[in-house]
Amino acid sequence: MKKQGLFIGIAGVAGILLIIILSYTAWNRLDPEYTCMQCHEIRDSHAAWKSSAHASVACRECHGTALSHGFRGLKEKAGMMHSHWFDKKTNRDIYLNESQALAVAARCQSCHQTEYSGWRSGAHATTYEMIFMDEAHNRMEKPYADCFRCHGMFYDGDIHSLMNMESRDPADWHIKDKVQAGRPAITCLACHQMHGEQAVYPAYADLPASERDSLSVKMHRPATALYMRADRRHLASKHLQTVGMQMQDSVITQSADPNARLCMQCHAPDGVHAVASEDDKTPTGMYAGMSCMACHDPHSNRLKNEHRNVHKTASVNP
Amino acid sequence: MKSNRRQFIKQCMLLYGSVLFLPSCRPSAAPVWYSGFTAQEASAIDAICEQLIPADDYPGAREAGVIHYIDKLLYQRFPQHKQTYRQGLAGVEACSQALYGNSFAELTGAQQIAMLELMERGELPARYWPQTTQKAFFELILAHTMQGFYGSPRHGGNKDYVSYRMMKLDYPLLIGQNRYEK
Amino acid sequence: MKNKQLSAIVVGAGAGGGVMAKELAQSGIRVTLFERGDWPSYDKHINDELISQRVQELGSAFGPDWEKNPRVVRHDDGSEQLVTAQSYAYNHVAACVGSGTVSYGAMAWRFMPEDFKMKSVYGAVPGSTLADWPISYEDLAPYYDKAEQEIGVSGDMSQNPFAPNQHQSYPMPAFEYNRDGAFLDGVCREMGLHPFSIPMLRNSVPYNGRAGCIRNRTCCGFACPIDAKNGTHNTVIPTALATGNCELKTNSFVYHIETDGRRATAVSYFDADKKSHRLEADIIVVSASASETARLLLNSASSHFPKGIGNRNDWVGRNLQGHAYTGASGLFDFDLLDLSGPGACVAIMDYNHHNEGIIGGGVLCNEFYQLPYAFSQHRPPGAPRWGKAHKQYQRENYHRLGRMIGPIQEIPNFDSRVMVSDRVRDYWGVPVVVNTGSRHPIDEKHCNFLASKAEAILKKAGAYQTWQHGGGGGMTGGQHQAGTCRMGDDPATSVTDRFGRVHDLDNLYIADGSLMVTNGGFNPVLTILALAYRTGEHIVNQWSV
Repeated sequence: MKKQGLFIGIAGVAGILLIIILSYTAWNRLDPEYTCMQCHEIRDSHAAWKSSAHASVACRECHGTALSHGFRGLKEKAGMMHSHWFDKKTNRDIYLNESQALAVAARCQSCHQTEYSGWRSGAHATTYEMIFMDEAHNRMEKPYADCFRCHGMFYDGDIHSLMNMESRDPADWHIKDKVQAGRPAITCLACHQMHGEQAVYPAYADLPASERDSLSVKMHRPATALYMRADRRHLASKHLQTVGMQMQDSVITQSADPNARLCMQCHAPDGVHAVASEDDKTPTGMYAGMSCMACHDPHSNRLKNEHRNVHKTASVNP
Repeated sequence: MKSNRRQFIKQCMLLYGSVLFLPSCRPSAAPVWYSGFTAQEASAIDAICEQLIPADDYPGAREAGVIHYIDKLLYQRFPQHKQTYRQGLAGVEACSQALYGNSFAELTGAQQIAMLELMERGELPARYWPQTTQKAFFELILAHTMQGFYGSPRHGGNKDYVSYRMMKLDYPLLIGQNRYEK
Repeated sequence: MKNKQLSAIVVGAGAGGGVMAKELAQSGIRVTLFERGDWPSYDKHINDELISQRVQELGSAFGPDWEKNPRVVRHDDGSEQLVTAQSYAYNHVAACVGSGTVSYGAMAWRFMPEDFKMKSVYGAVPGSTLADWPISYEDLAPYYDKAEQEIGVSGDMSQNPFAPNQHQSYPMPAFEYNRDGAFLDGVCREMGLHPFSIPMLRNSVPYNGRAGCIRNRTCCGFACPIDAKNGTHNTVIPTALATGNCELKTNSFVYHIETDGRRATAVSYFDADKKSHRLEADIIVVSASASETARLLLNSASSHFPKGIGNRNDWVGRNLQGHAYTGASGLFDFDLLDLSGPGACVAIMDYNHHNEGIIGGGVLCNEFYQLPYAFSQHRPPGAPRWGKAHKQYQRENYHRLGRMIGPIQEIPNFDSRVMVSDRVRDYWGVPVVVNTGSRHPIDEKHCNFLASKAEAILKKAGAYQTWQHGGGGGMTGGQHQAGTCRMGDDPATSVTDRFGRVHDLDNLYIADGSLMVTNGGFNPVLTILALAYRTGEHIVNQWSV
């Protein structure tokens, strides 16, 4: 009897383990409509993902499985459950923190290597250190909340948790956390929305590397989106307004390319929208109406051709 | 015993198998889920909101997701209004059935507007709203519709700033760096 | 006394309290500044219209917590109603470091000399407690100067013949007009009126180590994303803290003042964890707003003061005044607004004082910009509130609505008052404010006067449809609340002396709108700041050896 009991016990444990393994495998392989989407909270995200260019990339590829990020991943998911049941949070209240945004960026890199290396080599790969520890700039303008609108859109704190600015001399200011100082301040998700609605193209990752470059040249530009830190959500570039830019009394013709409106959100004019004010780079003269993309590679910011005097005057950019 | 064990394992497999098939109830029938409303209530709210701010050359309350604003509002901030909604909607439904023999959401646009105009003035038969008044419910859903359509998308409505675009308000605000000295 | 450092407690870190903390701390007094709210943050609510200071449908961006701080409204028939900050009758004032000076529209008005001697100029008004202040404009003028320099005002009064004599010019140039401002300026000039650029507690140019204004359309009702709006939270309070003599206790709610009959000795407060503490000091200053200051004095009843501190003659909480905002709107057939913020920029003072049959009057300004939700609530009489017509109005007229509006000087009414409830208590168990009484009936006449003047301007400007708004009846208070601890020379008809010291006690002072005998026809903040500078200087002179 004792022996039999032991056997049943072992068989039971083995059975449960088998069930867990089978379920775990099945859960991660099945169409998300049968799995993730069982949770009503996920339905919006699922629908958005279905209509995005990443519809062929499975949930787990970016979000991981329950176990793929170890204790941290489990804790994250448990936290979501907790806030769902106890803080009345819905899926619409959930947003990425900075380390999650960086993890997504790392995932982007694994497929979009050309774009990544372009970004890496250009000014958009700037770090918190380079932006916030620019002493000459700090002497002219003290960093404040609004800097994060374009630099550090996903930063998890406010300016005072980022920087110590107690001293009267900006030379003594410093970023409190060394790791934070080295983080990139403008990453993929600043201009791209993973679940953003757009036309679906041949699976990029399936192509041999040699064909990727030619594809990326041929390809229509992907739909971009602005991450609005203040609202903690993306706004598709096609929904951005064209801003009437003024030069003296005349109105400047502007490109119909939504991507140009996206660039303008950070390369922005002053409150009355005067050409060449503040960071404005609106093309003028014979170049008026051209898209930023006509001359610039959006990732590296590098010029495709050598042109001069496109912008009325370059504003002083320290 | 042996057969018992087999039976036990069989039962386990069956149980497990049935769990596997549970998800076959695909949620496609009700793709949108509301925390505070039944599907019928939701379609009535959606219809009312769409008449309060109808689509014309620009999207209306439905496309702006006003119902998500209301759902979130009642779930997170003002659960005390749930009751008014429930009673108000029940009255709308009963009244619509009595007047037109149809559910409010199924009425023609003209019928819906006629009913809402009477409700605004408090001129529908009061007996359909024994616990609240038609005017109280109308004012509540009108205010919430306006908030959901014109407020910030962070609260669930005004999807992609549809109302801001309609009113030619650039959003987000364009602000360049603001240096102390030029 | 010579070797001991004096200590002071300041209750409330708004306009008055912020200035007070700085004045005392700089003179070497050890100050504990209490604030029941927290430091304000732009990041949290950004330019979210539904959680702003002007529209509070989803909450108060700058505090206090809705659910924890109810108030009671007592109607004329004796019935009572529990209200939250969402309700106008709540008389909401922000509860955060800087209080209203964080989110205000920042108009920087000096009262006119007549505003300090209303009874002498206009005579007694039946049914009103209208009186002269115990001080004159000239007494306060040097402190207006100080407020304008230290907090920072942009303006230029050279075009305004009604401006009170200014001792020092503003530290920053006046703001340029936006489109509707420039247009209405021209119209007013044609009518023989005297328009000018509104003096503002905002930086028209970089000042005090902070940036110049970027003309954000979301200004009034919101914190400034670039810190170009000047309040006590970014001027005097940081200065006070930098002296090393001032400790700021945020999320700390003072609910009781102890006295020994002659002096105030200590306060009791709850910290963020709802734990009660007690703190003693040599000097105590209350600057918690006209509602909360009165509440604290009334809630501090003891055997020495059975009806509440300073309330021997039942004057604490009386004469509550605010501003009935009144004016007109007009629809134009061309785009009038360019949305260059904050909206209000041009004013006329032609209707403050010396208008036939009007006691006081008020300044008229073009209005701060409304965001889409507030705009959806603003319609000509009889216009559809919903449906296709609503939506069409909304998009066709957003840039085409002109408004002239202003605060009417209210004539004080003894029965318009703040009391404390004997039944309702807040989250901490402290009796809450009860608002009751109504405006003096004469206010309605004054409102109609100003509204008709506003409508005349819009008509002259070419509006094809105009309408007046703002009545003047009903309860008062609002954000411009004032008058509940009137200053005066006679202890029988006032709560404090001419320096803001509570009559019955040697060391208890008040430094907020409560002191104001009359509320002027202007936004009151600069006067509150100036009064605090004056009382602060007085305390330092009296108490420092």
